[in-house]
Amino acid sequence: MASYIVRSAMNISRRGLFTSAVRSAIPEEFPETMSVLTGLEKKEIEANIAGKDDRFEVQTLKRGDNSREAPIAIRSVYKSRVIGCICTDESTAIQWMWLKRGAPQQCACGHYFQLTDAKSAAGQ
Amino acid sequence: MKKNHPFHLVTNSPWPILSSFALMNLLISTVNLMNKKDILLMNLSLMILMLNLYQWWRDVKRESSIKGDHTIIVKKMIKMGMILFILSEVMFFISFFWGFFHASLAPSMEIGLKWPPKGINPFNPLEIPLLNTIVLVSSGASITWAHQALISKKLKQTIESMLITIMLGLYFSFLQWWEYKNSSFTISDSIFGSSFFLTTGFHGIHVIIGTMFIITAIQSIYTLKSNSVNHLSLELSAWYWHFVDVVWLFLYLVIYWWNK
Repeated sequence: MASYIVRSAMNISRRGLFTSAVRSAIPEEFPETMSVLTGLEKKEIEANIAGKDDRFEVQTLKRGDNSREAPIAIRSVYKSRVIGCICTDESTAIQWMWLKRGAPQQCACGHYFQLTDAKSAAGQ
Repeated sequence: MKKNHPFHLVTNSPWPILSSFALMNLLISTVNLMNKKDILLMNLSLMILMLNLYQWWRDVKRESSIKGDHTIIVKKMIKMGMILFILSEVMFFISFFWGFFHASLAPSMEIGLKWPPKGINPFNPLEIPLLNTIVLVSSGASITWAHQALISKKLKQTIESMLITIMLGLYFSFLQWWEYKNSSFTISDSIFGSSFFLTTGFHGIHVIIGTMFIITAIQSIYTLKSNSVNHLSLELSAWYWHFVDVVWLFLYLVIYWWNK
């Protein structure tokens, strides 16, 4: 801001008497929003526009039918990940557990989960 | 390390600890001012605090505009923090209003069992205080205009309406200074003077802080760091300004009008 003040002071002193004010005029409109956004914010908005509401996978997933042969697949780039199972609709606590890469694991309520490989966020 | 969550885990920064040192120095030097009448240390501490806050907020602005760290949930959390801060300021003002009502609803023997106390000539609420009310309410309207213009991507209108808001805010501060200068009573004139000047004085400080906040918001709009989806500085400064406006309305009703 200070450098802007100095620069505009220099500009004013260099101007002739009949120079128009066009050069320092403020434009009517903002630049296009998507062109100025960067970083994670931009990725989030792009994902929302593309219809992928849960790009960061923070929503609670609905559990479908599963068995030992067809467990629920949970993706992770790491070798282990914490998951939480809400066993029944009336549960007041979440069953948290570490899911390790390898064989399917079973929650105390009987549902099966398995950790599968996933591409990292940079690749998505 | 890549991440796949929308939260913002900030990188290491010296400003929080340095700000806490600056605050410690400020408070101790203020006590020193009251005892030894030496203002130099306090001014130095204030300067250091300003430097710290400037750099801290400059970093936040960089993280939001250039790095794009402010996802929707981060913005939500920042807004929640601002709401909590404004709530704490509301409680601060409630404490002064409490003190005022404690003194005025049942005037004590020492001030002559009447309110305003004998000898005190309060301000006429239909003169400068009414003008102040009009000024602040209009500035609330102009900053709402600015917000709507920003959402509609009208850059020139946004800056124009923000400038109107700032000029109204500065006009309010000038009018209050004028009132203070020409007041017939001072802060030492019984509980009336104390409660009046403490409450209106703290409100005046909040107006000045709010004006500075709006000026930083203009700066971020002018340099195009704000855009139609990412304009927390304008939103939060507008909230703070509305809070200042509402406090003034209560002040006007109770301390200017009911007082008379």
